[in-house]
Amino acid sequence: MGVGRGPDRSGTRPVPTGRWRDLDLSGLDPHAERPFWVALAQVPGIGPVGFATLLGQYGSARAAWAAGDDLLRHLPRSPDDARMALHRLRRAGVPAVYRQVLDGLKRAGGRVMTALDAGYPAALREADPRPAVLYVAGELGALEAPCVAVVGTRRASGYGRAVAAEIADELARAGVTVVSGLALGIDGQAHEAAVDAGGRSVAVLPSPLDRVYPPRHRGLAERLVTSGGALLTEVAPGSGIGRPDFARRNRIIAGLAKAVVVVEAPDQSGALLTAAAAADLEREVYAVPGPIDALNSRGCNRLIADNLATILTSAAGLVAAIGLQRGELPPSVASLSDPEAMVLQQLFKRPGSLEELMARTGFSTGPLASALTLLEARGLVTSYGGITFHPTLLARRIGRAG
Amino acid sequence: MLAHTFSASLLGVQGLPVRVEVDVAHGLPSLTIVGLAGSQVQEARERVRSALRNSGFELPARRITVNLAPADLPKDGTGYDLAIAVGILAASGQLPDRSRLEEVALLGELALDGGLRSVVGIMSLVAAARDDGRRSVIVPQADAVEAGCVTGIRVLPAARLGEAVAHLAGVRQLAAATGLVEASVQAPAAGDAPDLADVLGQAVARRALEIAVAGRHNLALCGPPGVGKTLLLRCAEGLQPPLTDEEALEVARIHSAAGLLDRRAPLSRRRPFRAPHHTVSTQGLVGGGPRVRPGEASLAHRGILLLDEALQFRADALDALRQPLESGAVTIARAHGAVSLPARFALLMAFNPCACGWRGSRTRACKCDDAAARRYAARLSGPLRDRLDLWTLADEVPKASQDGVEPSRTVAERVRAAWVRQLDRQAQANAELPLPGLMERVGVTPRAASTLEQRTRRFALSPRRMHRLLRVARTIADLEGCDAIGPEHVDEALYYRPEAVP
Repeated sequence: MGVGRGPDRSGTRPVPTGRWRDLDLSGLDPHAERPFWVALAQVPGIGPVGFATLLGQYGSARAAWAAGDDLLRHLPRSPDDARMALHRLRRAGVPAVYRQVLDGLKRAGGRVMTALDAGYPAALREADPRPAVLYVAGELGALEAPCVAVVGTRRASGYGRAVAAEIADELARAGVTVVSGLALGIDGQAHEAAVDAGGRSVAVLPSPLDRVYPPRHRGLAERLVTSGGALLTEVAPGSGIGRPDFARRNRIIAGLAKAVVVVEAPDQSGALLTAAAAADLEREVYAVPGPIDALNSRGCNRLIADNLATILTSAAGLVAAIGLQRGELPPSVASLSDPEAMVLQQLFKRPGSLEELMARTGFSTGPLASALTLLEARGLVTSYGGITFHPTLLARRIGRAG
Repeated sequence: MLAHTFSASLLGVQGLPVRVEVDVAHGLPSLTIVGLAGSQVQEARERVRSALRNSGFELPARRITVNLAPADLPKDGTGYDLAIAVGILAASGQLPDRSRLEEVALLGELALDGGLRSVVGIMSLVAAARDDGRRSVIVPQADAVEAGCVTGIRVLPAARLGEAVAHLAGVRQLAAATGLVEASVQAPAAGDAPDLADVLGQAVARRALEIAVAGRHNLALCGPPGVGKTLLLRCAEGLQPPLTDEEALEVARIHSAAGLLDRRAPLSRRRPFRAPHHTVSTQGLVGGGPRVRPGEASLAHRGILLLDEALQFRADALDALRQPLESGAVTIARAHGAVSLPARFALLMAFNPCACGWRGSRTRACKCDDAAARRYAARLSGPLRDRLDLWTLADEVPKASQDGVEPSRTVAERVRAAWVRQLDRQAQANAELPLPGLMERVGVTPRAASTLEQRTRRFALSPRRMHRLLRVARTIADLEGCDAIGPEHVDEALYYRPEAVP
């Protein structure tokens, strides 16, 4: 019982539905409410839906807090750790909890905002459910530009990395903010390419701001902030112990973007959750097709086959599809000598390993290895640590420029 | 009465001269051996006692003391039996003419009937006797061929204690073993090594292997299970150029000390090829133990050490390879000083990219989580990584067509030609070129020098990596028959850099 959607016994308030759009929050003072929102959002089991239910039930976070254990009745599930956490927070008191959060934010260089605040991202304001409390580092101005999420598997192949970089590059040049999850693989590649292209990029973290996950991308996270992007998370600073909640992170990513591109996803990839969340939120979903025998593309291919996503056949096409002009291309760079140009031409037609290139060009191993190293040294091809070589963005630009 | 004879002791692969002093004095009958004699030497008392009696001599019923000098060197093995027996005969007056004892070293284990049995490491022992100033050495008949490989000393094979004594007494001379050196040097046999023609695809790995064998560089081959990594690397055995005379002698001495030499044909031109199983102990790999036996690393001296499933080896065993990879020798510290075993080998390693083997595969899912994969990769320590010159990935889907695939014979010819170029130029392998004056010695064209400089910056190569790169480029140029390193050789060498492997 007490599932939040049940009949309201007090009779004075509208039936709490767990939906944010049914709430009237206009009477609440953002400033006075904020400490209670922060404290309440820290109780495990009070997610975006639970939070809306409590607001519907009690009218404000302050009132919900005053209700004590009673509020647990209204949660979809009220596990024991929710009760224990609530007791712990109540013992500490809201001012102390809030002060601790502010101290943590000061150290991490971030700030806190609730769904009541004016600065709360507009895209999330339309989403339902929406995160009650957000912790932010950097400027949220990037979110005022059109946002597209580029997501995919952590164990990306060279193909996935090359495509993610190309898509993020095109988007950034067209003035689009690239949103992703800062994970290893596709996410990181997309962030990096967007920043490299001079664009802005926003990362939604599964971890608190003072404990950026994954640690290997801490440098990248700093780059995002310094280049005009931002880091966003639902997790309060200092509370990073335990498993990161990737599913909630992915919903925020979908909520922020007007379209979600799944670049490479095996079966049961987290990126597919982002795609599902995007469909829920009525965002457009695009998927990059892959070879039908490639495990890493099975999730994407299935999204396309099941009509859950639009097939994406080129990065430029995506920019056009979301109604934007393609950005300027930088001027062409120096030309190449014969064998290297021939190898690069072949790679433009289709990426391949040295052995495949042997068959396609007729060169032997030594000269090909030498040519590939030279092209790699000039930043024109990359293997992403695999056996297959791909032309880089730089090479594509030269190729396009002639 | 006092007498002394000369023998030799084996420490690692090194022979050390030993002086056997015998004193026969009045007192209760006894036979005592002193001078840090191990249990095998203590048992010599019983062998000598029986051998003397069964050869028609007598063990005096006196107080006999045998001292093996230098007395602070631990001694083991059975090779002193003959020297002890002859010493007792001399000290007890059964060998009146002692003039020959000064110039002859005595090596051999005694059988109870007075026969002479072979001794481990005879080559090093004979060489030690020669260096100590002996002009001839009496060795067991079974060791004649092996001992005959050592020049500069007369090797006198004897079948029995009696023959040795007869020679020393001047009664009947032993015939010297001669002409064995040339006769026993064999051409490398084709052997049972697999042929490159049987390996499917793997063009890049083939090329890397050819370079590694030609210049004696270290190679790391990473790839999923079942694509032919092991088969390919085993082909290396049949690609190696023959040993030079000098090298053959070095190799034979090590194998002799390990008791692994073919007694009938001790000197072979065939380069060693050792492929220990991954359960090998650190001692088994680099040598050691109470008697300091050479390990696989030393047995692979001047040849190849293949570590298949390299990351399954014990971490400390892998790490112990760092020293020989750097200095070409294993130094084992003992209570009585350090023993050095030569171990200059080319290291070939094959391993999977992760514990389940399928990380990075397009068609099979890897079951390892990220932390496990990182732990797996960390088994190859940084310093060891640094010493591997050529890194390559094995293709997951070997090409089905075998058109134009070269058999081992063709590749071996190219390797041999490149090896001859190295010998003519510098009398050693490219991988062993010393750092001082490396740039001048390898010969770099101006264009290659500028390429090298650019690449060093672009790929952030450490000086050590840069030098290793130069040596590999030298080998590639040798395979192409070029006198100077060109830019294309630098670039090809760079293709096999560790960053190309995840």
